[in-house]
Amino acid sequence: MNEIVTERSESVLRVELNRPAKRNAMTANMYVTLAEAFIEAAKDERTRVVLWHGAGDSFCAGNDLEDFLNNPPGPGDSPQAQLMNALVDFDKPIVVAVQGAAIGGGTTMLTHCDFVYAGESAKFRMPFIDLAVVPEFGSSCSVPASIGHIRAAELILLGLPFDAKRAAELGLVTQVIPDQTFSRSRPKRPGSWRRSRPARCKPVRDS
Amino acid sequence: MKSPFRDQVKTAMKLENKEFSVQVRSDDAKEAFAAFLEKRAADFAKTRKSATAA
Repeated sequence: MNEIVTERSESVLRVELNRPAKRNAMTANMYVTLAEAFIEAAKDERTRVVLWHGAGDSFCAGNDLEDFLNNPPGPGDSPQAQLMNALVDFDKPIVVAVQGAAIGGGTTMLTHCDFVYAGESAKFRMPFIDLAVVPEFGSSCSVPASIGHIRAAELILLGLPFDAKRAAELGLVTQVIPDQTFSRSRPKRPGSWRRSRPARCKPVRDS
Repeated sequence: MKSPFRDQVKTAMKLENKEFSVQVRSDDAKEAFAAFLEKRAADFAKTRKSATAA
């Protein structure tokens, strides 16, 4: 079974984290495959927008701890670092649909996306402090830049959980969608994404 | 929209990755991850004792 599924429909590349039994917890192999998908999508002129979501009940529960502890990342070009760089360098709009758990990297990855639609029961948390490690994915910069230092401190230094409503209030989520109408593969305004023009989007997003 | 922050984010990532790679191998992190997997509270007093003994 592919744990990263990609499928292009016209100008939209759908990327799915497909490890639902583990709440889409990321393995080293998934980080590398996902990084390659973003690098390829950046080069592919047919792709104008990426729609990213998780299979099953959750978006992403962060690192797969067993895999992670067997292969802890080093300071250099780790699988995690490959995805971080691919995401930060990606110059096309990324739309994310978040349902269920978005924990650790499942939250911090969102800070590099452009449109984040969350089901109302989505749960977010950056529990790095409880795991005796520092934040990752550039979140020590991207989270305070997005929501301000005081609010970021509460989420990062205390590792407090927060819900979709709070995430939207903070500005980490574009819009909260009622669970009954939430669609992870078609979150909002699909026509707008298909019509997005790279020649217009790229310089604005990149500027 | 992104360029004002891209360099800052990349710098933060490098610092985080460097620190993370050290911390994840620390006794505190080992205890924290073990506690998480065993669904119990972490006991950092234990790791402090072993650090003091060393």
